[in-house]
Amino acid sequence: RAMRDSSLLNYKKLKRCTNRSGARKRIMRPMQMDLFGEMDEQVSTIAMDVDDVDPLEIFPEGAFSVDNKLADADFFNNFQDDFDDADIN
Amino acid sequence: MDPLEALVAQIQGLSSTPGDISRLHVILKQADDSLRSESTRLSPVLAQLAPSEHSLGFLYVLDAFTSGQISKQQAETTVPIITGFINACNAEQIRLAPEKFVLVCKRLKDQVMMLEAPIRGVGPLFNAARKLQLSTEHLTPLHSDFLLLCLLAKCYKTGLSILEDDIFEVDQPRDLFLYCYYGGMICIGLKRFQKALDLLHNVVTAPMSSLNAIAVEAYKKYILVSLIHHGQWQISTSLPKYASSVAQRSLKNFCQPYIELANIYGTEKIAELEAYVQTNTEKFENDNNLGLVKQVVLSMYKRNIQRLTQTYLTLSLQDIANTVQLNSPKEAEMHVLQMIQDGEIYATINQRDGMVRFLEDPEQYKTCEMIEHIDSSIQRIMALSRKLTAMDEQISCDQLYLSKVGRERQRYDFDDFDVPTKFNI
Repeated sequence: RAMRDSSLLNYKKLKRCTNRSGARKRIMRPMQMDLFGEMDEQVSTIAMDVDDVDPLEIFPEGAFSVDNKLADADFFNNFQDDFDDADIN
Repeated sequence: MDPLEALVAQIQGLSSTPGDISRLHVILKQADDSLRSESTRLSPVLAQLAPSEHSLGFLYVLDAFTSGQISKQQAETTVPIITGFINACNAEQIRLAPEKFVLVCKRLKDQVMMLEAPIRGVGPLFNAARKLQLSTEHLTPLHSDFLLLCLLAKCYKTGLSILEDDIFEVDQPRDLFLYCYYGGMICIGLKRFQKALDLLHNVVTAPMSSLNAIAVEAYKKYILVSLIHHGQWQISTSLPKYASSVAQRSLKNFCQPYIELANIYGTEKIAELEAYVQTNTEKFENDNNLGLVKQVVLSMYKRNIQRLTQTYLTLSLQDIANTVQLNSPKEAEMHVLQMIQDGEIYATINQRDGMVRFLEDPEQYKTCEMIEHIDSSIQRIMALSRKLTAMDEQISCDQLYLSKVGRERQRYDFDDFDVPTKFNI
């Protein structure tokens, strides 16, 4: 078993390369910058509540149920479970 | 002259020019009730009309002919008639009576399901949706029916073709819910998990004033597919801020076994995960989600093997089996082979000594194919940006939107107040 440098386990991947003398040597890849990490913080912290405060008027009446039952509870969902990969091969 | 014969003559005579068809439409609307009362006499009438030439008239007669209860035996007769009409009809004519066209197509869907032959409706409903659409951006009620039949007939690739369109116009919310839910299932069947997540995400974040059953089922699959594809489910993140507050508050209450499954998945303990699945098999089976749940368990083995690639350059199959808690090196080899085939890891297996060598991703991102892919993605994003700008401008001028914004704004801005100079800061 050949192990990678444990001190850099979580952030880096090792890569073998050849140095000037021709001997193989492990070097670290630079840590990848998370360029998009801050984008999440720019999202508004206020949850959208327009559909709770004022029912949408652009849809016809009856399009949304106002009682506690699930809307569209009669929709067709009686499919065979076809996603079991054990059936393949 | 028999009224029916007169109507046939009018249909045959007034189906040539747009002006004639407009006149014919008025006549047909007036004759609608009497057509329905004569539904038992309409079969010979249909024989006298050409679906491609007399599409509007044929549609009205066909609607009346199929409006009553249809037995399984009768369906064997009506299905070919409806199918032939859909394939031959003139799109411009049927768009004059879209509700009737949708009704007739939905009856086809019901009848092929009754005959337990959903595949007979797949092709016709695809054609019907295309003919009804004003553009590929328009979602019709027939899209979801088409996908439903694809799922029942297990024609996943055929269903995918309609999912490639970008939808921007929706008539009814239920159409969107169903289209995205069934579409998500189509993508799951083809293992296009990212696209499945995008579609299911649309369902759970769509505007809703009360909780929708379709959203509940979509959320269950959304959790499972997230675990399979991303290997994580951050409960603390919850739904995005733009999801409706009713979804943010209540969806989880209907999906507790799935939330718990995700929590256990996060512990990375395969034995606990398998035990939980075993205990709750019946719940997942009742939702027809047991197959997906099994894929979730399988994905944990894959995650654990992927984690090994970050630590080791080479590893024996025996070590992999021991670390990942597989039964044998042979089982480990099967997992590794499948992951190599799926592009989930880069590795080679030396069967002579049972050693696996983990490799780096060979993609250098400088091939012509990659450049074309990046370029097309950029073009797509630019087109989407233009679309968003146009939609934003359109909404900004919408009367309903402006009246609502006007109600919520403060009545007076600071500048509206006439403040004496000596009090200005």
